[in-house]
Amino acid sequence: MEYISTDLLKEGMTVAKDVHSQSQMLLLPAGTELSASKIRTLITWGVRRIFIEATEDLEATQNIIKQKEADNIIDTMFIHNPNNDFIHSLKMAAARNLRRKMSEEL
Amino acid sequence: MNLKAKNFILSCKMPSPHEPIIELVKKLSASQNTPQQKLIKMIAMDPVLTAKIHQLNNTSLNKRKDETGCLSKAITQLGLGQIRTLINAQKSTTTFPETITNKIDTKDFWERSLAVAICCQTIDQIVGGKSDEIFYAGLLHDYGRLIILNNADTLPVHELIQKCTDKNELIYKNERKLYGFNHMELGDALFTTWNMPSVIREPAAFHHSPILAIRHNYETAVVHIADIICRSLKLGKSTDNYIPTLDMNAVQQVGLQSNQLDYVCEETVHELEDYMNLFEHTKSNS
Repeated sequence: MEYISTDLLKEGMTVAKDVHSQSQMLLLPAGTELSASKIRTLITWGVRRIFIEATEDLEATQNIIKQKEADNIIDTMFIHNPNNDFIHSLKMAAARNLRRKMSEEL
Repeated sequence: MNLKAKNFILSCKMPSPHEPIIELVKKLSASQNTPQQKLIKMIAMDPVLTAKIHQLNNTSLNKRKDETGCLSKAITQLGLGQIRTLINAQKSTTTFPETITNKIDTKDFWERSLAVAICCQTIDQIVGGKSDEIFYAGLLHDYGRLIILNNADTLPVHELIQKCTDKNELIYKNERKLYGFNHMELGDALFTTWNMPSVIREPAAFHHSPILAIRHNYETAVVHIADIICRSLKLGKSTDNYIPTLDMNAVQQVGLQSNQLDYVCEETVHELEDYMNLFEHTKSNS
């Protein structure tokens, strides 16, 4: 899953998470395949970035990244926090960001 | 108020604005063609400059204390003439002492403050909080830590970092043992002296123990959460190796759900990039 600018969206990409307007109206549900008109709709509604499913290229890049190493770093950072759903979600987001930083440094 | 913190701020070195920001803001404010909103957005990228404007606004003679923490309101109340005078009087002298610069520098601190401000705004938007001051509460929440880092040549900052690294402990929980105060007490003492609005002062004073906030529980809880999120995402370096314990009561109070975290994290990362790009773009066009 990647979070990208609506300027970079292309037809054929798949929406990974529901997209809402600022007034919380559902614009596109997860799983929608983007068409030119759907991309225009998002831009018209002022949506700046959305989650899309990772393409094979992106997944291949991610495979290079030391995922285990990133997860271990994050686990150590959180030793003063309990395990609960919220912390788990935060650790996942932190690990994703760390992997992205690591891949940028490669 | 912690008396040691109060005494310390009377004699310590006060931080100055981040050099690249103040240089740009000086150029922008010197031009009559700069839109006010653009000037405000650039000023709002720097915690020291923002704090100085609030300080000036709240210490003007014959004026009742103003409880707004919103920068644009403070600037409107002061008038652009006073703002230009204040800006022109600023010199960037802050560089952290050498003992800690391998751990953190002024740019790291500046980036972290801005990231927390952006994260606060993102959380506020997603939970429908509509707090006008939340960005500034986040931007200024770690002012006490900035003063400590700026005075690392007279305080045992390096020693504390080393001790906490060796013992796997959190720095903020050990500050009082070594300094006689922690960074929240220092921020509280300074902001009380400066007559800062309570919506700015309370998050600075209680962001690691949001339950202690009195008037601004919501803003303090949002800053608490945003600080932890930005540490988790490693936005701007920190001297701490560990993430402070998240207060789940604060999460419940704010109403942030775990399934909203992906959005908050990604939006914060990308919005921070947008701010940095805007800064570079404005700099190259000024």
